[in-house]
Amino acid sequence: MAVIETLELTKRYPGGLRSRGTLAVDAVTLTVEPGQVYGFLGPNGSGKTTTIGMLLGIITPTSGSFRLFGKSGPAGILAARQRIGATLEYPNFYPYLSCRDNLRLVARVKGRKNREVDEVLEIVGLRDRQKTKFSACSLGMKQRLAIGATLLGDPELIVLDEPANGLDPAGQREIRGVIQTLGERGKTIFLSSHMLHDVERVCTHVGIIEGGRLVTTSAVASLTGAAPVAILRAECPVERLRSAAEAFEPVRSASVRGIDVVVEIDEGDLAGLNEHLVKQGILLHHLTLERQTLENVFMRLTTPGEGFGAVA
Amino acid sequence: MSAEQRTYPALGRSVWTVLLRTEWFKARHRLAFLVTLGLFTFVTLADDGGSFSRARRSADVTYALPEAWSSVFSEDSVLLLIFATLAVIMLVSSEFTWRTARQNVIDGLSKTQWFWGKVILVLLVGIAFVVIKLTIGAGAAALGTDFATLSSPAFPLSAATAAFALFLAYLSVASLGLLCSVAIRNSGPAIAVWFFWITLGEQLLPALVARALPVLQPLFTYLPFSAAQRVMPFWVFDGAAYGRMVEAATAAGDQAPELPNLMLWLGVNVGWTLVFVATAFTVFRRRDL
Repeated sequence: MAVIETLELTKRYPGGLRSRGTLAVDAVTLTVEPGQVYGFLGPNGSGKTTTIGMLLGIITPTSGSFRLFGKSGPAGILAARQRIGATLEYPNFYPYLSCRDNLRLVARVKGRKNREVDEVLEIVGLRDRQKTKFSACSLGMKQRLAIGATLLGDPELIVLDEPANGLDPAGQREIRGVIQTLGERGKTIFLSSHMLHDVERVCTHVGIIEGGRLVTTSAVASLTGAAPVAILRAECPVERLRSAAEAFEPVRSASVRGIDVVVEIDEGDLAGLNEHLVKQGILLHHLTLERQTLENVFMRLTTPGEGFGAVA
Repeated sequence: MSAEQRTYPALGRSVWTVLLRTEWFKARHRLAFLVTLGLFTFVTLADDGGSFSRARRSADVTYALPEAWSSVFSEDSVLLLIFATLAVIMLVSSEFTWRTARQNVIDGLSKTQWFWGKVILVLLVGIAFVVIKLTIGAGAAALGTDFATLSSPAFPLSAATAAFALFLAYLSVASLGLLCSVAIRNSGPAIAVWFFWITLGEQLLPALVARALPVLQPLFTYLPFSAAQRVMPFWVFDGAAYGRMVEAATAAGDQAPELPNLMLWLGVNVGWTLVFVATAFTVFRRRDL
């Protein structure tokens, strides 16, 4: 049974009299299985938060449907949400209450005992600052408190929306560590983030959303597992360089990307390619090996004409 | 609500108990609530304490039970409606500003449960203000009362009825505040709209309209704030107090007011409360958080 299943989930915000409104999420269909650490990626305004908001019951979908832990319908979804710990966009707490009192309120709403508050304060490292009012907390403390609140009740699914936003590198590393630990404990995590490097390190699966549409959803390994490509640059015209490279037998494909030629070739054949080009009278002054990264994939899918994707 | 929604297994408590405890916890830690309650306490102390003080200084003035109930429950009770509703608006609308309404729902409350939490809050705030009003008013009067020589009960049933009616009057005005809060979602503008309604909307505009169309004049008395004031004076509930009021009016050469139809006016207050709560619920349910 999937933890999250959406089917053609759509949200259109109403516009004015002469406007059809804004299509924030356009027929998103995705599945998150138990134990997955699912990275939900997309540029600003791509529909990530709206999608999560619909799953969490604070935004009403215009059309489409979703299931949480196999349950649908208002009562089923409400019951399923008892098994979820989530934070959306910013840490939302009562500014006049202390960290501890804020967690006590969350514990009450979740039907948990105060004993769990102490455990969570320990986990997120706020035990010594538990009496600090939320309004007096640093951004890092607020983010940690938000993660602590999501952990209350030992939820099976944890939804985190930009948890490392505004944190310094040490804070980001700390949050990454917490997510990794939770993933290792078998929790299902749905993580929305801009930190592509972090997502690549901690997530098992990703979905990339652009303009409200889910453009890909896949295992991280299958997205980044493609063979690396060689980037060539020489003084000669770029088309001549491309055709010369393509004529070398081990080259599987060669294409132009700006002033460079991108070549699909095994790493062991690079020296032979260089020698072949020299024989053709072409002296390379730039030869690098570009590995497929999540960032390349993200840029290719969300920014036309950018990155690795120019290889066609 | 389904059975699944009604209880929190980890605590063995009903959701109503959780909402009650949560709302009271948030309110009693909130400076805005404490300040409005404090200011109301100060104003009430100044009023009733002043009456008590004057009675102590002058033999011609008395401030003792049960006559003092007419001072406790009077048109001045409108201050309770204003202070308490301001507290309600500040407590409710800030939940949207801080996005804690959204987080409460994310944490597991349904939107319906969240809304009922706010209705409970309206009741709690009202109870707190009415208790303050009664404690100070009756307390000051009790200090000047010689209980051994009383010919009628110091705490008549009519005082309890008047307190209940004051609470109903508060509910109708505060539920309008609740509607403003969930519709506008921002303390300042919500207070402004509510205040505009009870001043210009119910005082100035009806006066202007009634000048042009006098036939509408009686209808304006049924507007929420006007209807609330109808059930505030103690003489509406107490025959002896009404008798004293008629006597005083006759002595002054004025015409004594007629006793209003109490059930009608209590019903109007309850009606407005239901209308405002239902509208607030509909507005809240229809909008995303």
